[in-house]
Amino acid sequence: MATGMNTRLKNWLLTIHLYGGLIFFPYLVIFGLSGLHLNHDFAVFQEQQIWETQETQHFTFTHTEDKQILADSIKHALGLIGWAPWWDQYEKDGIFYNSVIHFGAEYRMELTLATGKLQWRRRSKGWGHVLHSLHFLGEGIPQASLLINSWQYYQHASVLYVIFAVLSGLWLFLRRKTERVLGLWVAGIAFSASLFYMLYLYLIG
Amino acid sequence: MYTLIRKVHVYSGFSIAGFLLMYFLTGFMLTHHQWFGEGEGKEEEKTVQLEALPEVLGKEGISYFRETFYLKGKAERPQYRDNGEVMLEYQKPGTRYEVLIAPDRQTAKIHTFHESAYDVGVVLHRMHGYGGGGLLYDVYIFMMDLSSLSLILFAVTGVFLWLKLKLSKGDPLGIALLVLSIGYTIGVMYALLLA
Repeated sequence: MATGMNTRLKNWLLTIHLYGGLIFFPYLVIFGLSGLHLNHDFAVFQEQQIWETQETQHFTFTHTEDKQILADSIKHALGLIGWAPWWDQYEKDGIFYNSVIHFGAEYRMELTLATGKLQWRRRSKGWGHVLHSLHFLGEGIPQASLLINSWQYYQHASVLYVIFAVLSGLWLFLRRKTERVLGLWVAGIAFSASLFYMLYLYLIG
Repeated sequence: MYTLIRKVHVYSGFSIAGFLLMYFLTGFMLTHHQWFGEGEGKEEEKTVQLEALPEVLGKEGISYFRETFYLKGKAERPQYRDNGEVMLEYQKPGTRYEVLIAPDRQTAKIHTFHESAYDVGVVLHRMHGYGGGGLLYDVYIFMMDLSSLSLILFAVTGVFLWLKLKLSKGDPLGIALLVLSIGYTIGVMYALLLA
């Protein structure tokens, strides 16, 4: 009975371990590349700085002292996704300046308050930066599509999967009689050393 | 070949499991900070006299404060402000020091933050870049690099093991899952690039 349950459990764990790995394969690779980039600053993952698009159009708006309301109304009028950061909003010589940003692009706007002339330009941050950003996209982007905003759930699930995969992988390995002793030594020493090291940094540093 | 790849998959996992688990557990804390509470640490501030401060603040300046005032942790590059002040930061898990050097370079304020458990997790997760903390912290950063490499290794060797184990017997579910996951990721990237 116990052997049967153990075998069933083993098969379930192996199935989830295996198929979960296929489901979360892209995130694991992205996370690995992104982690390396954080330490080494690879050029391929840096933001592109080329402004690609520039347009002018008329914008009808209600005058307001609240810069955030005005910035948000410009964002909605242009159908943009992302955030309109307050630190990029200012008025100078009758022109209101603001921006909208998200992980894939940056927009800069200039609204002539007297005439309603709106000039805006777009900078794509490039595929490398977008790939790196998927590491951090742990929340929804305002006004973004379901496709983009579903990524946060995929990311959360990936985190849980990795924790499961490490622990289940250890359990599956320890069921094998051969290599068990060596595996336990390697895992035990490595795990203890990692924990001790982090504690050392915390307590003594 | 299968056996070799399997051994790489398993033993690289065991070697780095501790750091990998830490990275993902602290990442989980970061994305669910409302569950853990950001906590309030304690703060202290003191003003100190500076003697023999190096003229050029950089590695020498970082070492000066570390040795003279026993500041520990990984240091960031000095930040120069418009008013002539210079800010140096040292970070170790659990404690952060902000050193604000006065424009006349005669005194400095050292602000010490004793951080909460949540902040310790954040620091362990976010420490990046070699340099600024000596060998102790460079080894930590190297372990983070190994964790990142191991993730890529797991993913790739895992797919290889699946190919050998299952695909040869036919595995439409596995193929579908792999194609869907890669297609989904490319779709999200494409949507962000176009938006």
